[in-house]
Amino acid sequence: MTRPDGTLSVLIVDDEEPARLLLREMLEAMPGVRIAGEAANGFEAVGLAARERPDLVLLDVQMPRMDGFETLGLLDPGIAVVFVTAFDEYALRAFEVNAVDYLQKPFPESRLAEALQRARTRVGRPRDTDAAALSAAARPAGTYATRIVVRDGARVDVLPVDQVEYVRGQADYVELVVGGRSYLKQQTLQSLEAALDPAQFVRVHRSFLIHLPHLKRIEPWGSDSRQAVMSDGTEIPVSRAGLARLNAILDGRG
Amino acid sequence: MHPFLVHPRWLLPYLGAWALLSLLPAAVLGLGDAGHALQAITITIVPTLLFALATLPSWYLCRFLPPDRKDLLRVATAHGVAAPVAGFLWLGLAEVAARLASVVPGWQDAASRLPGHRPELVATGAVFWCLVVAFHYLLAAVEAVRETEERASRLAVRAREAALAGLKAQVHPHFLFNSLNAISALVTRDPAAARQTCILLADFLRASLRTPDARPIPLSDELALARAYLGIEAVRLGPRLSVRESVEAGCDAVPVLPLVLQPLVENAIRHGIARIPEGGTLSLDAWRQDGGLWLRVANPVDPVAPPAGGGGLGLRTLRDRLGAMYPRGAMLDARRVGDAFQVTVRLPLPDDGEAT
Repeated sequence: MTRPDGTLSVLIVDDEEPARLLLREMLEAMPGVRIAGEAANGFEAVGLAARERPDLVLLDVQMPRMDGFETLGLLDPGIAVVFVTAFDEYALRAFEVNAVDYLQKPFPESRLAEALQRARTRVGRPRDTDAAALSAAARPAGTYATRIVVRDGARVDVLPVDQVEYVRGQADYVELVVGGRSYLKQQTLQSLEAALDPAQFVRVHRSFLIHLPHLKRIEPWGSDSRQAVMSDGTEIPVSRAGLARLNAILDGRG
Repeated sequence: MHPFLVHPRWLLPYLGAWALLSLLPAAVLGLGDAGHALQAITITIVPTLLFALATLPSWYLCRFLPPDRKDLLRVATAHGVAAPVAGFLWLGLAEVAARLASVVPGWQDAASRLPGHRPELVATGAVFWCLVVAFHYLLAAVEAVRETEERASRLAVRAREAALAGLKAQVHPHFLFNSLNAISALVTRDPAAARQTCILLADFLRASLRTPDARPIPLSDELALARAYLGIEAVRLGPRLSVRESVEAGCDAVPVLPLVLQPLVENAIRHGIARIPEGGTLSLDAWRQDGGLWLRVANPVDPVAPPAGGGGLGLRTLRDRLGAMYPRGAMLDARRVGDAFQVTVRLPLPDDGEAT
């Protein structure tokens, strides 16, 4: 969806003002580029991107509360992303989430022009991002997610993982229940499960993942089935395989 | 390896001592008899020295059978068997020496001196064996003490190296490259600010890279380093960072452990204020109370996504260094107080006779 006039619309996202000013200064000097806006964090970025529909987001990695990888996960896959960061430890992960390019600060104008050129060839071709790779890229290797970001239109919520009560899988969406409210996120239950601590979250049913601290009891249901009762009273079906997984973890705890 | 192989010059005094010991059997063979003294000495000194050399490998037996309390019976049995064997070996050597001596003109009767004294000579050989073994056990003990001392001094050197490594400020690459980027941004729109930031960065790097030294520095130097760091962060974070500093009069000159403050200030930014979209206020206090200098750095933490204890390593290192520098009177307390994180350090004032 190249614009009629052929310009590239670019959104600047960085939590440091000097870095935003530098990008703005460089972009203003380049032909065929329109600045769609500036955002100082991932929340503003998601909101602005929903409203302005830029072709490209220049995205800082280290930002407060929601980092660049988490932000990318909430952007429309049609928007190209170039990561802009100070240090090279994320380069491989940026590649894994199909970023168009990866700039290291400070960089010369020529390097930015090259990244923009690369982005032009990608405009309109959606990022083919694997949700599991994305959620893995958003945290250090060998650790589990401590927060989950969800987006509803231009609004972004950060859900602390320890407050998640249970998750219901629906086709390629998950519904996360936190404090009695439901949040939808475009991700499969399987890939979300992979990002969470298996000692805390148990797949008790094909479509349900429960968080053990919020489990009240397991009770018989029907003639030979069980159900899990959560602390808010919600009843969740437990499959035969789910019961076995649950018992394995509860037994393992002694 | 036998200690004599390591230090061959020890062999001479060893053999000298044995030459003196050989006078013992010589006395049995009639040293007192003036006409035969030289002959008696010849017959005993040669086998004694040979015996002393031949039994050196008992070092390995001694290493193999250390005199542990629980193995005492086994050790005693082994040497109880070896002693008479050694006694007969010594007698055999003496017999050969006597035969050879009888070739010397005038000493034809040398061989005839032995038969009457065989039991005493075997006993002498057995005693000699016991002396050899006791000597080797002594050597082994001395060596063990030396090895322990060496290991202890090696450990002390390593501990000191670790302490020095902890003294070098960590220059985090993110901080360095983001600062350069900020300077790069300022160059066109505010050259004076760009130059000022360069100077702050140079001050910070110089202090961070200086030769590690455990000697106390005045608090004012430590404050200057922290201010250079905060000055650069203020450029990067802009209005998101505000600093409230309160240093009681008279604290500036107090000698403190180098890099006692800077890591706390850096943690407060990296794990606190830089992680909050709206930013916040870092507060820095220094005051004297109850014979100690108190330093406190406090920062707000993000209530939505609290840090996962990332500053733990820096705090642990600082706590170890405080313990190494001040045997008593220093403490470090780190705690969450509502939506803030605060670290308090107490250092003994030099009047306590603690800090040197």
